[in-house]
Amino acid sequence: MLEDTIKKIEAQIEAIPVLSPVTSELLGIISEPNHSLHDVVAIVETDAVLTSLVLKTVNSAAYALERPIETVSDAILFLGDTIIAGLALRREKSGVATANLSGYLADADSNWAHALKTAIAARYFAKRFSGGKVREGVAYTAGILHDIGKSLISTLFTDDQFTSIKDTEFIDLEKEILGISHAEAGYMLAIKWKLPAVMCDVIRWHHEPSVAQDDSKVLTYIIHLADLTAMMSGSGTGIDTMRHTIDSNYSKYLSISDRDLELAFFEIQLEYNTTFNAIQASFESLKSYQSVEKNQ
Amino acid sequence: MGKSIILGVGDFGATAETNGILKTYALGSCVAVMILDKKTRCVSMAHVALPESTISPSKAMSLPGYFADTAIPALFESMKRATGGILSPANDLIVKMCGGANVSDTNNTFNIGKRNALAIKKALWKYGLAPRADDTGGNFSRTVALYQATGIVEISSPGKENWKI
Ligand SMILES: [Fe+2]
Ligand SMILES: [Fe+2]
Repeated sequence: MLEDTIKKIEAQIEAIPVLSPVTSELLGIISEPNHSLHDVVAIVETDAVLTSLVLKTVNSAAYALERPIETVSDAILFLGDTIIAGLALRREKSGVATANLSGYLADADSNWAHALKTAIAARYFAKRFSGGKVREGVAYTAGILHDIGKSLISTLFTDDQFTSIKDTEFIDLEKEILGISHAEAGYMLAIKWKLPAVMCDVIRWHHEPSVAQDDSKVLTYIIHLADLTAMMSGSGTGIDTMRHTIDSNYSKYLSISDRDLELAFFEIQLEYNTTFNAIQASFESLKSYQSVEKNQ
Repeated sequence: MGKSIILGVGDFGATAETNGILKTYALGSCVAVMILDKKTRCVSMAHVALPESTISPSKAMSLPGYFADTAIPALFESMKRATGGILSPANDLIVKMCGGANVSDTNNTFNIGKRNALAIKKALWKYGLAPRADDTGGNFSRTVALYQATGIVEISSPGKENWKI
């Protein structure tokens, strides 16, 4: 049974397009401590579609700029460079952050919304509470990618498996039903994609952060916390929303008080609203542009 | 079906329109608090995310629905706007609430859902109100629709049959 499942997942991983070179390069640069704006701009400018997505995002109604921004470097100055990783990942053909999660009773939009809110929350926690141990770009990218395993196992659930849903941690339920959790499946994909070791570790342990390697522990706790923050504030992925256990030891790695957490909830939500709308608008205009192109 | 008003996180609204519907999606630890006026048949709803506005008083001015303490007076105001200034006294008002789920937490500190529900009850109490129907807690998310015509609140959650309060 488990072997069967693993085989199915491996076949899916085989079929998933690898990350595009531009995205890989961007993720690499953004995680470097001393990267310059110029490096990011140079990569974005090699890619016409990404360039257009960046400009459409910054000029969307959500930001209500007085004058349009016309260059990639001005756009990145305004938006920050982490969001560029978000745009690049959302565009990926693999669709890992944008796939329909029918097995979880969640649509593609919920999947993306969850990834984006987790990313924004993770960046927020990294910036304010990690004592400089985790870079914002890394936290953000990990937030987008943490649940890539869900799209792999989503199709393996059958309709009736959740009818008598138990009150247990959903990771345990996944293991009980399929023999493997979305975290473990995501780890397999992360290895295949040759993501940095820390990223693989975070994907694997984001629901059991205490098990993560020492090097990746703080980041794993950040993603753990950001993930639950996203679910609590209305951006879950269907059936597993709120069905996870918080490991309260996050407070050993992040100096965050209950009051900080409440303020974080609020500020993350505001930032999320703006960013979500801006990115949505940019992808919609890209879609309509592409369909015009097709019709010509 | 009447006109639906969709409320996002921290939004609030009221309708006295026949067959109007107030709806909010995916309450996790957030709470939907609803006030129904038996006399005017006006209904209202706020999607409350946090217990206290003191964490960001300036923002609370522009987003009163976000916090338990500022949401209740905001609901009263929105009901008055919907009815042309009429709001019945407390004994003609029915309050319902739902949401406020909690992730399981061994230390019991990560319980914004519980604290939201409690803060709303406290805020209601100031106006002599208490929830007649209270569907808070648990570890699942809820989507909520309030029907003006019947005052019935329909709740759905992924993987569960819908239920009503
Ligand atoms: Fe997860
Ligand atoms: Fe997640």
